[in-house]
Amino acid sequence: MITGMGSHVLGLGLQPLEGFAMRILYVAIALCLLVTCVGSTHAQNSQMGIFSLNYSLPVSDTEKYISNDSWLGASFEGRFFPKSERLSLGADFGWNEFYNTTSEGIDFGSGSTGGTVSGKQYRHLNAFPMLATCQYYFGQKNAARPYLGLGIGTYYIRQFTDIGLYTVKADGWHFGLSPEFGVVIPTSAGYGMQAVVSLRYHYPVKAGDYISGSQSFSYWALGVGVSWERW
Amino acid sequence: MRKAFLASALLAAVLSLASCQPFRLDNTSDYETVTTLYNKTINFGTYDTFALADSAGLVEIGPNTDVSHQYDVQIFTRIRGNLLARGYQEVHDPAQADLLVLAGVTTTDYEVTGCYYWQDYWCWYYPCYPGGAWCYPYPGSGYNYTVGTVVVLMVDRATYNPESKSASVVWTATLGGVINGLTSSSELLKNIDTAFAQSPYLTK
Repeated sequence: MITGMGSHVLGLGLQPLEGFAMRILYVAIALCLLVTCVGSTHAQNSQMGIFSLNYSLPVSDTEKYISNDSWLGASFEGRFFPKSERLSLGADFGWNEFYNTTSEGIDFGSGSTGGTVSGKQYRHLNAFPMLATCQYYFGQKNAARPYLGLGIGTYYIRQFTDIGLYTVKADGWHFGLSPEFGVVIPTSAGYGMQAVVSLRYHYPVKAGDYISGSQSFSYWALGVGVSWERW
Repeated sequence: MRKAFLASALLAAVLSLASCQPFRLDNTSDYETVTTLYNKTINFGTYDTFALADSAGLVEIGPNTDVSHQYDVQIFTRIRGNLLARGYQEVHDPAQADLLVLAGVTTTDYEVTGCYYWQDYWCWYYPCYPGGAWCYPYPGSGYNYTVGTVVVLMVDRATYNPESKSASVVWTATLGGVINGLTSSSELLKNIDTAFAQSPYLTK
């Protein structure tokens, strides 16, 4: 969708979340409540909540569109351990944002028509992973526990490009996978609080109708966070 | 329940940050764009000659009649120079040319009335308040701007149909931007070069 001169012309740096993104927020909150409820029905099982801040590196289509790394990102994950302390299931909701300013041309086209548009651009990408996750833990409890995990679910990705007097907006839903390696590190803070460091590869499969067509928008996310665990 | 509330609040806080974006473009030259379109089925190497329709200057497109023509000669000279550099030969009789090159200009005036949205200033999320946007008509806060666009068309003369008086356009360049007192010919000419630079297929 192309819109005309936006609020940035007035010298404003803020854009409101729009209706669709608001719906994402509501859906995510609803899913979050659902996971919490599911967790409480397994009250006899151990549970873990993780809040992480993410440093992200763009790759593949994401890197072609925005080459900058990003410190804007966070995720919230709830896990529970249905059988043993080795295996957990959970749900992860995250947000990662990439942006940069560039004058590189953008190729586009359809059918027999090709084209390029150039000019100073502000490129911006928000990715919202919403994943069901599974982790397998190594090591012993009360010690640092490395784990391997896999997330499967959906990504909502929102792209917009300010160029000249126009803003080109696009968004899409992607099926996606997210393999993960992490470590849960005990702390002496009490309350079941632990540190979590994880490296995750986000791979939303190619989909959508973005400015350069169907895209994948993959990225690495290094998360550092805290967890609360109840055994 | 308390945990559910905490989790929701955390998530809401995280996602609401997504509406925060740094300021982007901040002067009129940042609004210049160069857009080129071409027919991908055409091999531009098969054309040999071009004729430039420059005798009447830039064609005025649209209702504005007070378009400045002070840069017409420079614009045509720059287009000619780029085509010659790509190996095409200029002919002065359009009937002998493979490609006819035309250029036009249009300007549009815009007036924005003074109506700002409070949430842009005071909130980082939407909507700020139940009921949505609040508009504050601040007296004297409106502004005007003029958008100027130079259009260059390349027409395949062999496709001219005398009955319909039409021909196929095989390449276009649209150079657009906000015009103000600081708009200079150098920016315009640089954008013509950019149009050719981003069209590498335009070559003998």
